[in-house]
Amino acid sequence: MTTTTTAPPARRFRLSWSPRGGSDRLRADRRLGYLLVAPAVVSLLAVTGYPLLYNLWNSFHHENLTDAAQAHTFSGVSNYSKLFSSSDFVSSLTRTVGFMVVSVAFETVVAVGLALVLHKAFKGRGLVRAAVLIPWAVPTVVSALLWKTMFDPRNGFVDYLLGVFHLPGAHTTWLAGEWTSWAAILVADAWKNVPFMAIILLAGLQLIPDDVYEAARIDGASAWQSFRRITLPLLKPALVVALVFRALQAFLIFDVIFIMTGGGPGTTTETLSYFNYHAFLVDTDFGFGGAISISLVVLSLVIAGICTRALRPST
Amino acid sequence: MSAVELDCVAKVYPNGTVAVSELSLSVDDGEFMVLVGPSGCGKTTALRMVAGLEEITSGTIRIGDRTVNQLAPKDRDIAMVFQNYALYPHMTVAANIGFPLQLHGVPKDEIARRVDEAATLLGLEQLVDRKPGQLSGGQRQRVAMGRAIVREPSLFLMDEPLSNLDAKLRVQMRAEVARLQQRVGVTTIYVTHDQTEAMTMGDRVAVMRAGLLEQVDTPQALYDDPDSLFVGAFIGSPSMNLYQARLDISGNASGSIELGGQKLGLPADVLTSRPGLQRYKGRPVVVGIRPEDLSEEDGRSESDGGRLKADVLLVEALGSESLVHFDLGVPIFEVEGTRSAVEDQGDVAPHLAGIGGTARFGPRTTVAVGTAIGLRVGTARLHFFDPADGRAIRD
Repeated sequence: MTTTTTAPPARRFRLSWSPRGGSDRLRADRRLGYLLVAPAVVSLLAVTGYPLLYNLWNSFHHENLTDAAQAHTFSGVSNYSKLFSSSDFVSSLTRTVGFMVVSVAFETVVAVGLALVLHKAFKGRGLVRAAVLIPWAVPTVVSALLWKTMFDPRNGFVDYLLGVFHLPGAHTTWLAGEWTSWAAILVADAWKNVPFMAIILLAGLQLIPDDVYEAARIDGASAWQSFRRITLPLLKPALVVALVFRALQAFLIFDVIFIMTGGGPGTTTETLSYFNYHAFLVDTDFGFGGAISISLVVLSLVIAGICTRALRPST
Repeated sequence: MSAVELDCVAKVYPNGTVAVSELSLSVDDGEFMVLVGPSGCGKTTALRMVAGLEEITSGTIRIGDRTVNQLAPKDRDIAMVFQNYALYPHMTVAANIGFPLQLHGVPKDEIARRVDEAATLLGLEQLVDRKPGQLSGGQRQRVAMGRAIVREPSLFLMDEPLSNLDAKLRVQMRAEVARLQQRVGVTTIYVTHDQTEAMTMGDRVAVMRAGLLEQVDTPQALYDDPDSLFVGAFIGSPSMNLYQARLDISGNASGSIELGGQKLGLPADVLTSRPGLQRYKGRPVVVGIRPEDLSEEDGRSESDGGRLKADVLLVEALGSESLVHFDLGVPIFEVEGTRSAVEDQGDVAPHLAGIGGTARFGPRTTVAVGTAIGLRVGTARLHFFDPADGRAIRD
């Protein structure tokens, strides 16, 4: 009896006390939250925010090391007008977008296939899953050098392989022609990036419950129908993530091209990033380079926007 | 609509685990058959084999007049309701229900008509444009039912379809599913671990244990006349009180059993109706007493035979009745596999399981905890089992 009479006041006390205590705690929680994200925010500002603003400033000024007389003087939008009227910019933009579309499409198809295989239960699956990731873990510089050697017309493995199997394309000087260069770049880029996409897609596949597939089997779906009507739509969120990542990476491609072709032959494999590098470090025109950089940022945002909008889950 | 016939069906996994052994079961056309048993008894595996989701190691399954062993699930003309509903999360309710029709090439307006019909039947008219994520558990359950009935299959398979619902909704859906099945009249195999569900829904109930079929019969027959200790202990809530006892038969007329220190008299008709008991003369048997066959000794009728003394441990007043938990001074006879299953259902106060027994008294009982009471035993309805093989002793 005594316990029942003392219980209600205790509860009432806690009820009236808790909101204030809660807000105190809430405030402390928020403070801790800011504190915890602060290092990330500061480093992001330092490595992304500062260069961005610096380039923005550069792009509106004369900042050419070969023209010290006009250094730091305001130039208006002259860097931008020079850029947009430059045929080099238009052609490198076309090449970049073309490469992005083709490579991402190709890599997505291969990655979906690879993810489906890795999702199946088989002996040694864990080992295969780990092994598949190795190309992704290799630094791009290393993998690009590797592929450059592989595509070597005299000592290259690719040429040897084509010769052994009497396939067309043997004795091709891969990196001497425009389209063969692009093919080599595409292969090198896919080799490195397909595993990354596949692992993201595999994570997406693992989120789809088995019984949904079983229900589809009973409802009368063939393997293809079940892939088209169940797997693909439910994989959409993972596909969006993988596509956005890959599309942006492909749009900004630099290192593979720098090492394998140096933008050549001629300027036939020069992408926007390469064009940008050239303006900065070869022509040492920081104003013009800044304008390219800012354009790259804006275009990247546009691409990310298009990807996420086009593939938005229809809920 | 079709009858279903399982003939010596077995499932052995590559690692040697036997999930189902030699299961033979026939389900009549239009019948509601419930497979019930504790978890791991093979009931779901059996259902999945009928569905074609699990390969059969040996045996034959016939649906209607076709042997379906080699047929893909989609060619078996079945529909299945899954434990987690398995709705397509990216499709609306209407698309979910219509999906099987679409896959079978049914014309669009025909799909719309039949989806509409199913939605109306299940009270889902307002929800057809929603996605499963926006529905409550009970509504999802209905959509899963809708997807099953829209096909007009010859067989429904249901794998614990109510186990994810809360208790109140489960009782409601139990009635709804049973009513729906009666209305559409499609042969149904329904898997559950809940014996109450089995008893209330099934035309017949198949009790399984450790991959083996224990008994198939109507719910009442299972309850009144269990073939084995396991069925006796598993079916019924609160479950049957089981004790090991020694059987004494004097001459050929009457006898008695010794329960701990107490003697329970057995009238002659108890023995004559179970001639098999003669073989157990002077030997141990397991005696089973349903809680409702124990009543309060009111002191007026002094029948020496069917009477036991017990100490009251706990009284649970349920309003319409009172469950009296008592200690007879005899340990309860443990049946492997039933204890956990019964406790799963939350019907027995777990701290009492194993030491005593339960009696079902009227609501106005004045029995108090800690007192000794007399229990009148309905000896005519006692159950006897062989302690070694667990089979019921009858003839």
